[in-house]
Amino acid sequence: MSSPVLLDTIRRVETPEGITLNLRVAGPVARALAWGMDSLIRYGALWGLSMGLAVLGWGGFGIWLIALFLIEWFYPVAFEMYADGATPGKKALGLQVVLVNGAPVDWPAALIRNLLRAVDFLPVFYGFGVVAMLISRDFQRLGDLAAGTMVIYRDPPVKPLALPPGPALPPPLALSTAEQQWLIAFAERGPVLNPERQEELAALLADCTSGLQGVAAVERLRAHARWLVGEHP
Amino acid sequence: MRLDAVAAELRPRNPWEATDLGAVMLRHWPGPVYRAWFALALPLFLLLHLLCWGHWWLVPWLLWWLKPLLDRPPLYVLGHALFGDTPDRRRFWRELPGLLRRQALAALTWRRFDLARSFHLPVTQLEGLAGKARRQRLRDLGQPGRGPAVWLTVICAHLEIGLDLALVALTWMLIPDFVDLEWYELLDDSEPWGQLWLNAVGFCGMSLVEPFYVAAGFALYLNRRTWLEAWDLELGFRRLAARLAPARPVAVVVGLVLGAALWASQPTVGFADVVLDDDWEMDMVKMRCAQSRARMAELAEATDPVRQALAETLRDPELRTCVTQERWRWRERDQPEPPPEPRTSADTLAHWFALGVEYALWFALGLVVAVAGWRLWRLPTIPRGPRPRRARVKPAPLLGRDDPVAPPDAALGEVAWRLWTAGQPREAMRTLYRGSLAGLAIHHGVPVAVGATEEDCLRLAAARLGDSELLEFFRRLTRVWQATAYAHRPPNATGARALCVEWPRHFPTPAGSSP
Repeated sequence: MSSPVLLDTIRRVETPEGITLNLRVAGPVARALAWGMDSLIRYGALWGLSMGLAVLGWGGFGIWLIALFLIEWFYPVAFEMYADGATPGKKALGLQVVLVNGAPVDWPAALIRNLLRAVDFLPVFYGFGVVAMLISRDFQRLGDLAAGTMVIYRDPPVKPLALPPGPALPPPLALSTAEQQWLIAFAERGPVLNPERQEELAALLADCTSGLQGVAAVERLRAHARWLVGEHP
Repeated sequence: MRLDAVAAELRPRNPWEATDLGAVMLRHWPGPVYRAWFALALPLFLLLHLLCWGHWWLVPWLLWWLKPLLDRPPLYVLGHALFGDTPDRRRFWRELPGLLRRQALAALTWRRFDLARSFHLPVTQLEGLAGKARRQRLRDLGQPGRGPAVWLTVICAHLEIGLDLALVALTWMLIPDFVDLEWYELLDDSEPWGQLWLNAVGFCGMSLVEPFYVAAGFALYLNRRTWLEAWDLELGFRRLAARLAPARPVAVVVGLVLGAALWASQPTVGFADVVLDDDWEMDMVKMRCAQSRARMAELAEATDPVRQALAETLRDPELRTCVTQERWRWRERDQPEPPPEPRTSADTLAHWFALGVEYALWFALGLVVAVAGWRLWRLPTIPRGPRPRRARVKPAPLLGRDDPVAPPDAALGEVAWRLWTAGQPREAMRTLYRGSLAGLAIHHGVPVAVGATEEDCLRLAAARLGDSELLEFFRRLTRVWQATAYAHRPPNATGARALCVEWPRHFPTPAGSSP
């Protein structure tokens, strides 16, 4: 079945081994929130520092200015290099900076993308950055475009499947990977869907459930799903 | 609503990803969405200036207050476009008044301060719910959906103010030095012109952000429904069902369509992008369209049930074969040039001078090209760039992940050995390696992620497996598989035989599923 390309926020990257990585690119809302959190952390740190350094008088002020410079420019660089490509704000939202080919961000890229923050900030308050992000395909701001980086959602760790217990039955025919995944997801997402909706969905697959109705059909599909994930009677 | 015509990938996402989908939708239909926005917002902006003559400071506040109504046209366009039904201009204007009237009072008064406005708007506008039903629906969608929607509102408000200030700052930066203007004068609203300028800036900022806000809220709404109603699974199940039963329903449709085609018995004119200049051709097309319409009308009046069914089928927009669209376009420039005016001597001089300069410039260009060409030709041929990119041929996936598969069983070793003896070492090793992965994932709970490399799998297995013998076997198999797959160095027969024989020992068949 040929289907048109659907709108999505995924960037596909193919590794030399022929494996396709689906990277979920992150857009303005998540990144703005992360930036907000980072700003709070940065200014909190600077405020704390100013309290501590106040006792040193002018000398303390000098040190504080140096700290201000370092934190303003190198806070994101340091975290992106030494904390898996994520500042604390990004980590909280599950974001990560990577190169456009999916590799971890390296020194030149981290430096370029964060030094060019100044350009994204122009004219004020990230005006150019926001517009660039809305226009560019992978939600890249100008610094990202220059450095060849993008911000993606980190994949949650793979959890073992948790299907409701019950009997397992082999499906009546060979299924492709995608079809197997639909069946397994159906069983897995049972708690979220209400029972009527599950019966409606199961009714679509009357050929698979050999004409069973209602709850019985749902149970039959679940049994197939259990068999597919390797439970055997 | 036709779920199978949906133009976006429906999968359960996290809410932030959903707002990104909104941005992607806006980027995909910028023209229709922004036209719909400006169709209402721009006239309103001008009208408010007329109505509040002398009190222009009121305009931004009124415009802000009316935002819930201004949001509706973009959502209308998005909602239709997403399901493959982009509304044309006439329909848009016809439906606009009804669109704006629906629950307008509530939207502008007690619901004006709804912090999740764009998330709730689809329920009111696209589902047409009101009162208790609407409240119930919002509660159903609500719990985990509302928080991100509120954050979206907060962020969009900040974006809008930020962009307003950015516009002012940009203008100030672009004003040349000799204009005697301080930056704060650009924020001065005591004069009517200053106020008008600020209103225009505010309108620009609002126009940039508001369609995005609507699209993102709509995407949040879609995402909630995908979670709650498993739209992705519905689509998948429909596809699977279509694969399982290709014979019955399609046969009926094909029969009907064939019947229709025979009935029409005329070549139909498709939606060609051909511009017909020739009047005769135009008349031919129109005539065929008229014939087809006459036939439709004839069918519609028929009492015969078969013909009624036929008419019913033909009425489907997807089977509509004839659409006439007439449009104005510019004629070729075929008017004769106006006669040249009589020239004075100064004109002639200027003309010759200009001609001379033009030839000199062309000559200079020619010289540059020639010199560049000569330099390129003289250049040594060693430093060559990356090889020219050939047309990309997508390699077949190594592990053939889309083949129908069955869980591993003990016979896999024999299968692999048979493949080996049949002269397919790569296939044989592939079978073993793939079977091992499945076995590790199923029987030992090794979480193999999509897109994991061989090294990843090995690392995961090492972290997860207590059985060192199995791990050792898997490591050996991985190395052999890598050598076979990437270096085209298959193992020798003894090595392959050993792997095939050992395989069932490490992955014993679970009871009951032996063939």
